[in-house]
This record gives sequence, structure tokens and C-alpha cells, in this order.
Amino acid sequence: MAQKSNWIWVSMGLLCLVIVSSYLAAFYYTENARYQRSYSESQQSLDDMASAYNELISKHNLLGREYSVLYGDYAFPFDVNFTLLMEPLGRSIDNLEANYSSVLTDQKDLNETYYILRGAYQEVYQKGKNITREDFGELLEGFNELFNLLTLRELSNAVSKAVTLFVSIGLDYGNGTIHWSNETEVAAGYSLFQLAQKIATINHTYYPLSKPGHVFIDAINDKKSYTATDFSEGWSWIWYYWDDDTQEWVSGMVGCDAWMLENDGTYKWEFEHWSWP
Amino acid sequence: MPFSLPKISIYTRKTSFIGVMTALCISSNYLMIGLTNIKFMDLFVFISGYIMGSFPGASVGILTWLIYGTFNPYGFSLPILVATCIGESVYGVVGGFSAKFGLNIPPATSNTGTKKAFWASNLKIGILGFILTFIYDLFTNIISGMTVGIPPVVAIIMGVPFAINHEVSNFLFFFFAGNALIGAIQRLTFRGGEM
Repeated sequence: MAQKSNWIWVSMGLLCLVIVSSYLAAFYYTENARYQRSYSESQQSLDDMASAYNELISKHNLLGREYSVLYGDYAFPFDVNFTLLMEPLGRSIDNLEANYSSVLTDQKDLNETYYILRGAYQEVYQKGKNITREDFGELLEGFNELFNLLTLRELSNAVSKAVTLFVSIGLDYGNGTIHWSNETEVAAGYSLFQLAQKIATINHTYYPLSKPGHVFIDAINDKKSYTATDFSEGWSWIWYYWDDDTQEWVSGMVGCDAWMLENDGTYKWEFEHWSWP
Repeated sequence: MPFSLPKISIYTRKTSFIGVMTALCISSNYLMIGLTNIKFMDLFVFISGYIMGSFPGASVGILTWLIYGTFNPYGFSLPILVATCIGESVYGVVGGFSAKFGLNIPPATSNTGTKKAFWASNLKIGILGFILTFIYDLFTNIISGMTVGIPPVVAIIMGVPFAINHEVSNFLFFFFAGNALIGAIQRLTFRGGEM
């Protein structure tokens, strides 16, 4: 009888071992399947990114070649008829729109820059035979700047297929109220302007002559900037980024549409009083 | 006429025992709330059943869960509460049956019990604790899965890391503390309560 009871206990002990082994096997199997799935997803996004990169670089090289020819003619030290160069420049501007249509549709600030360049081109084109070197040079510089910006943004879009950024942003209304949006998820290549649009209602003005970046924020969530009629003082939305090395807020000093976000970056819009001089 | 204390009925003794053990389970549960699925409660419920019988043991399990499952920082769910009450009471019921049907626990300090017998009974209690916990986890994982609309097999697999925690820790608690606690509580209960 005692022997039978012992056998029962031995069997129960073995059952415990079988249960633990089955658990470990099931756990290993599911974890392995999960890692495999995650690995193939990562591989797929890397492949997508690589193919988007190839496509982008070949576009960039083609348009870069067109720009190079135009710049060579412009920089040539002898007499050049700039009126004759307007046609190829016009085609390059058209090609810019055709090749970067998705970025131009998605990104309001670049779209605005493009139509300003296009308008300036039409204006110069109307002059007919009186196009000067300066006129052409300004258009060419505008074209090159937009071309580089579009390449950068599209490259960022390609990276965003595999990389997501997490940033924190605060809105300081200047009256003691600060709203923080922590761990906000954005695509790689997002500018501070795009982030502001994502988290708040923004009114802005586009300044073609300001560089880098053309956007000035007029109001965030209906809190409007104000300037006295004699320009002696006012309230404006100023942006800052947090410098991890110096552990302090640093004023942006460039247009928010030209500032690309970093992963784990911390940013702040502050409604500030200023006076002049 | 000699002075004598009134005899305490077995009913009173059982009721107070249930109250004390339930309080012990609840307080230890809240103390160990940060340790996922590692609790002394299962051992205490089993011991309650072993010492006082299946019904008091099951009562300790059910009463503990009625309080701990209702006032729980991880949330309240009626189907899961019912499942845990039923699952927990099994420890008490099996504890009662173990005492009745020959899970012979030699007292740790007894002169009659050999060391070998002592460790053999520890192992028996450990194995019993493991199997009971396995049944409890299986049952509660299936019910929890059904509550949130997950197929039973998926619920069991998802619960594996928690189940391993629960079953291995219970095996160790039952193995190292079961025998000793049964001896200690039995002495307290019977010597303290007997007139």
C-alpha cells in the first residue's frame, strides 16, 4: 500500500516537471515566433527605406545635373543671354514639382515656398529680353535652396518608414499656464512647425526673405502676437530647445519650419514680451 | 464551587480560525502586492483546510478573494472574481482532504518523525502546492481570457510567465514552510483553544 502511494507521489512529481517543461517550451515557441515576426517587419521596413532612398537619390542626381548646367552657364564669366536660360530654368522648376509632388502636397511651408518661387519666375519671365544676371541669380539660388530642402524632407520621409521620433513640447502662454505634450510621436523629418501644427491651432505668416525658415508664428491656440504701432514693444511666440549638454533652454534663432526635430528632443513655445531698443 | 471557564464550541473555534486566517491572507496579499503572482495566501488557505477541514479552508479562500478581489488596485471584474473564489477554495478543500486521507505530516520537532520522513512530507506538500496552483492558473487564465474575448489556448500561453512565477513560488513556499506552519498553527490552535 505504502509502495503504491509512493508511486503516486513520484508520478505527481513527474507531472510537475512535465508542466514546467511544457510551459518553458510554449513560452520559448511564442517568444521565438514574436521575435521572428518583429524581425521580418523590421527587415521589410528597412527594405522599403532602401528602395525609397534609391528612388530619391536618382531623382536628386537628375535634378542636380540640370541645376549644375544652369549654374555653370550663370557662373560663366563671359556675356551670357539670361533670357535664353529662363526656359530651362522653368523646366527645372516644373520638374521640381513633378518629382516632389507628394512632399509639396503634404508640407504646407514647402508648398508655399514653391509657389513663391514660381511667382518670382513668372515675374522675371515677363521682362522678356531685359533679364539681368542678378534676376536670374536670385531665381537660381531660390531654386537650389528649395531643391535641397525638398531632398532633405523626402529623405526624412524615407527614414520615417523605419524610424519614429518621440519628442516633448511645451506651450507657455506667458501667464503662468504651461501645457506639456510629452512623448509625442512624430515621423522622422518633422520640423518644429509641423509639430506645432500637430499639437495646437496655429496661425502663421510666410516671409520669403527670411532665411533659414520662412515661417513666423502669429498665434497659437488663439493667443495672438502683438506689436505696438511704433514697433517699440510687443508680445511674440518665441521657440526654444532644451540643450542637454548645458542643461538650459536655448533660443531657436531660425524659422521653426527649418528646425528638424531630434528623437527625445524637448522644445518649448513661449509667449514673451519684448521691447525695442 | 471551583471556578471554570466555559468550553469553547468547535463552531466558535472554527469561525474565529476562519476570521484570523482570512485576515492573515488579506494583509499578506496587500503587503506582497508588488510581487506579481507571488503570495503566501495559497499556502495559508491550504493550511486552513488541512487543520480545520475542507469547509473552513474553502471559506478562508472565498472570503479572502471577496475582499482582496473587490478592493484591488489592478481593478475589479465579476467573472474573474468568481473564478478566483472558486479556484482559491480548491486549496482549502484539498487541504481538508489531505488531512483526512493520509497526507501524513510529521511534526518538525517530533522525536518520532525521522528527518527523511519530514523532508518527504515537505516534498509531498510542495508537489501538491504546485499541482493545485497549476489547476488554479489554468482555470483562472481560461476564465480571464473568455472575459476579454481571447481564445483559451492564447490566454494560457500569454499567462505562461505569470503561471511559472506562481507555480514555482508556491512550490517553494509549500515545500519549505508548509510542514512547519502546519505544526506551529496546530499547536497554537489546539493547545490554546483546549480547556
